Amino acid sequence: MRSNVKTIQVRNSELEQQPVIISPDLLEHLDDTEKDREFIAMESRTFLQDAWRKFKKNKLAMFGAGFLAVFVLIIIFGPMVSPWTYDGIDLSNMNKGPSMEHLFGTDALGRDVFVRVLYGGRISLTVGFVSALLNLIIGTLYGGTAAYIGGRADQIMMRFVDIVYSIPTMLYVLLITMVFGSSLGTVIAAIAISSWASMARIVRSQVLTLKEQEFTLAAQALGASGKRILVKYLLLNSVGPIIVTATLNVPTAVFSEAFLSFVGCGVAIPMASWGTLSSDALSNVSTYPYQLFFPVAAICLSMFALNFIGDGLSSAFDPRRNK
Amino acid sequence: MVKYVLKRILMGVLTIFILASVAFLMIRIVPGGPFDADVAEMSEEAYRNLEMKYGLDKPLYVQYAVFMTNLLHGDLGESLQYTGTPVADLIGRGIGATARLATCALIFSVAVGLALGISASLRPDSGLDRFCTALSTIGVSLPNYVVAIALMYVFAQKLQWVPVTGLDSYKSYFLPVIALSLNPIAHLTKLSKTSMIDALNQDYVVLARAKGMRTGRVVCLHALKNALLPVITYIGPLISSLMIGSFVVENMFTIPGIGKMLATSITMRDYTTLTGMVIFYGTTVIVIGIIVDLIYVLIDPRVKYE
Amino acid sequence: MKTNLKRLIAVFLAAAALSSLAACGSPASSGSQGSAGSASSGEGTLAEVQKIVYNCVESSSYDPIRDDQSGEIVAHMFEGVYCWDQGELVLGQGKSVEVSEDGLTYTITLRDDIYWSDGEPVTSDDFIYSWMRELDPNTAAKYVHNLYSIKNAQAYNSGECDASEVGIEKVDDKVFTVTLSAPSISFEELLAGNSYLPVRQDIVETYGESWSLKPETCIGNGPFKMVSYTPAEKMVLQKNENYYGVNDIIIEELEIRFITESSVEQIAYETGDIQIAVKPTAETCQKYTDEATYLPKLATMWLVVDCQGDVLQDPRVRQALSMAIDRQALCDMLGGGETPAYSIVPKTEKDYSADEYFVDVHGPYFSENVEEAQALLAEAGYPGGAGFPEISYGTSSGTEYENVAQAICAMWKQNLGITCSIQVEDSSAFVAHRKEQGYFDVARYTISSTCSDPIIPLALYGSTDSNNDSHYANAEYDALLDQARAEGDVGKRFDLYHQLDQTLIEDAAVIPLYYPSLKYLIKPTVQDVGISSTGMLEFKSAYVLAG
Repeated sequence: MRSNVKTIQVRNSELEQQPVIISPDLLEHLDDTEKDREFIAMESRTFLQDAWRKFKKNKLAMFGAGFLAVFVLIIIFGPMVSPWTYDGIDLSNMNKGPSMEHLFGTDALGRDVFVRVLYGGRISLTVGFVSALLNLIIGTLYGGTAAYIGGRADQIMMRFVDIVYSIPTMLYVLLITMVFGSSLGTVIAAIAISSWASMARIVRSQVLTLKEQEFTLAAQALGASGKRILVKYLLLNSVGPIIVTATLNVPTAVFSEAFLSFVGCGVAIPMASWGTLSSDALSNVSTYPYQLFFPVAAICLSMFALNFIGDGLSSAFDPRRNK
Repeated sequence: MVKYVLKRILMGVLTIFILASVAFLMIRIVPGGPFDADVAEMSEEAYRNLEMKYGLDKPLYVQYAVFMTNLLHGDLGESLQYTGTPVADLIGRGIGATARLATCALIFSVAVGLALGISASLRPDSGLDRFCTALSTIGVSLPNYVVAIALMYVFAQKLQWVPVTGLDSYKSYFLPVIALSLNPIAHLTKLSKTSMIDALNQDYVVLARAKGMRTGRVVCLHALKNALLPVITYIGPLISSLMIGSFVVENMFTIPGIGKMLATSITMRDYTTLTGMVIFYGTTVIVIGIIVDLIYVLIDPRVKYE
Repeated sequence: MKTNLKRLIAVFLAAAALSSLAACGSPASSGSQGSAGSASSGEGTLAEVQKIVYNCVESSSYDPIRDDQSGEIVAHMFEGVYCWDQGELVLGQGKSVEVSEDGLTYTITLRDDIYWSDGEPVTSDDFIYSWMRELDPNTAAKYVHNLYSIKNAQAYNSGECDASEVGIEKVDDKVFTVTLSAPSISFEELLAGNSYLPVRQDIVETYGESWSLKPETCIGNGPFKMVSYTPAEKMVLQKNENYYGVNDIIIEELEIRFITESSVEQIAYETGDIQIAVKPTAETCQKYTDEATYLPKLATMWLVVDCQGDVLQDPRVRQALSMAIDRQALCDMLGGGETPAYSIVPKTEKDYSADEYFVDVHGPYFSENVEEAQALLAEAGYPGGAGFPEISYGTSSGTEYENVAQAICAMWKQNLGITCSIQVEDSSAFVAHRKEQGYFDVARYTISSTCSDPIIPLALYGSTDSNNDSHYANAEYDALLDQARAEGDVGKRFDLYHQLDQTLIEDAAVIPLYYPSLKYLIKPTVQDVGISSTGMLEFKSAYVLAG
């Protein structure tokens, strides 16, 4: 309770009243029930729960996610149901158009295109997601750290990025293949290694801007560790462009793999990816257009779905978006 | 500022030398040599003579010393595949076409990407937003060779509006530029939309709008400058990759640029051309990196030189 | 259709002419194919603009010794002592060639009216300089082995002897002699090839190695000359007014495009941008059957088998693998006119001692038979493929090669129970690995001959040959090879060739697969384009009809 109550003189020239002295007995003591009058009946939520809730509200994103989920299910279970295998060569049945027996027709070696597109989906989506994920993790941590540390270390780190970025992907693939043998993992590793640099740059530019803002200063003053500041404040606030780039990195990775197959360094046959399926079918586009159409349609639809999901994620995770 | 730029340039030169050494080593470790593709059609003496002519029979450190000495004199060496043509000449004669395409594609994709992105950001989640986003997504949903062949089929074959190959007339620019721009447009639309929305939600912008300033003026005067930062980060590497050329686009449209050179120099193990291309690419990356960092400082006063 | 019938007649006439030539025993015109398009000229009016636009594979240089592609463009800008005309071997820059009794010395007399495209006369000095330059070890020419038939040429090239000891002598400005180390059956043919073309000494020495890349310095003595060149895009050639036969050339201009993708080439052909397509797919050819020409190529595609590998050293295993492949099914799959091969000697290789093609003289030394293959495999200790390790099949990248690999592995799986793992590598790495014994168990191999001599593929499997990727070592085979190389009599020589062929195939050191074919699409208005057996187009006698 207040002990040293100062007597306040209120001077009012117009009213010419007696000065009011504010003393303890003028103050009414409220009881504790009054405190709860402004109780807000809502539980506190974590950032993630908030984001998920926002994401659910976005109809387009949910549609995309649903579509992708169904797609992935078909890709996983479809080949088990179909009587055809992805490497079942049947030289008496080459280049047949779509029919009841072969939903998407057959290719130049008589294999069922439908099953091959599904298998291709497994490979392509795996390459896309895993390399985009690796890309995201490595690039974000590296770029964020470089920007946060700043100074000479930042310069050296970014020069290293320049070097990594300037080496062509094909060289990485050839070297890794030489050491570890040709496999899906090799291709994924090579694509991830050659593409994390641009993510690092984007993250760095974001963090550089945010670093100078007041909340960073406040966090530092309060004694937060560098790591905590980096992750919780800087990176999380950069989520917008990071998510956008990460989502767009999945199709880029898928198409990088296609390009590598184009020049002979991609996934090994008889494994097929959407990239190899579409580049092989390219020369026959006017005679057997269906061989190109189905893999391309698969790529197109899944990338569209992915983009909707990415959009949803970026607006869901952005703490400044008030919806 | 001059001191900063000089320091960066010096560091850049050092980086280039390291980059060249890394490329030098990497291509020589990979199995297969520059003359192996033809080795079945050559006699042993011819193979040996070729190796001696280009100094490939010497131990690796000797080759490296020769390479570095030449590089310090600015000599990129002679191509192994194109006998007698210096690498610098090879790059020089192809860079014209690639640069012209790159400039057109850059202007086109920045214009369209920013237009779509900013329009979408002004009315988030509206029909316009959905339309712009969908349009830009096409760019990342189709592999570029599919786009190229589709464009060619429709415009060159069916409608016969444009020629099929080469860069002879202004008409031949349309298809390759579109094919090159679709992917950047998608990225730019998304990036500019996201950062524009962020910028528009800033307090001072809300205040300006509340005061009654017209949207257009708000956008141009206040929001744009700050929204451009992530966009510029993207445009930097975009310029580098456009300058190195697209293998697929130049291959499909028969454009005499340097796009094919990187990939073919790797498959043909043309050591000198590969290191030359990597140095060229690295130099553009570094120079653009310096320019971009300078632009950051100019645009955003919160960012400082280190 | 009228055109088709006329074409058929033309082909028959050409074939009849060729076989009658062979019957006379003259050593000329092997590996020739005749012309495409209607052979009867004078049908229809000539177009006003005699220009042909066609597609070609770009080379990294047009210096005859540096050209690493088909050499087609070089063959238009330069001409040798002999040259090809509509599939026939005729004298080109040479007026007459006399062979000595022992077949070792050739005296070449050049024509009086031959000039370079800048007006300078062509002399013996030009030929001698060019051949010596090619043999010079410092020049490091790639295909110099074509000159090894000349005395001391190989020794000079490996640095073992001096330039003066090489068997080329100047007699005067228009006459020179060439001395061979052993009599050759195909020297005239070699004289028509790119390795024997002349170049100008002053140009090469002044402008260095890149002289052939600019129109101003690319001076040649052939029917056409370079007028403009945009690397990676196109090249334009025009009639060479200083060529002695310029009045017989109807075509004024040739525009050469360098389109690499066959899908793009197809679009260009369909829009009429180009008039000749050189890499159409089989399906496109079927679509335009009237305009398509199929010709067998002087090449074979086969598999090398690691004869020193653990399981594969047993010839029965190799024979089983060979017999279990259905080659006709492979050719149907490829669909471009390929035919099954049972020998590595190309189909169109002539047998000079007999009246027919080399491979037809004795017929195949084995036949495809799945039961027998299975029996052989069981005999070797792997009944039904049990216990047989996985075979690594190596191939370079490319749709055709990869499809063939997958089809063959499927056949082996189905017929013999053997599993393969296919390793696709880019061509440089692939060739380097193929040489290493044990890296691949089985790998694809192909050879395109530049001239007609069965020894070319057969000699690959001598145990000391650096290109013996089967790692086949058979002393008997080596002895036969040495004998064949030294044998002067044509009949006995070919006898030895047949013995080599038989030994190689019965031992299954290699597994022949198929003979590739050349496919072209040519617009009906373009007539009389010659095609050589190696796939080079000739436009000396071509012309364009109106409409």
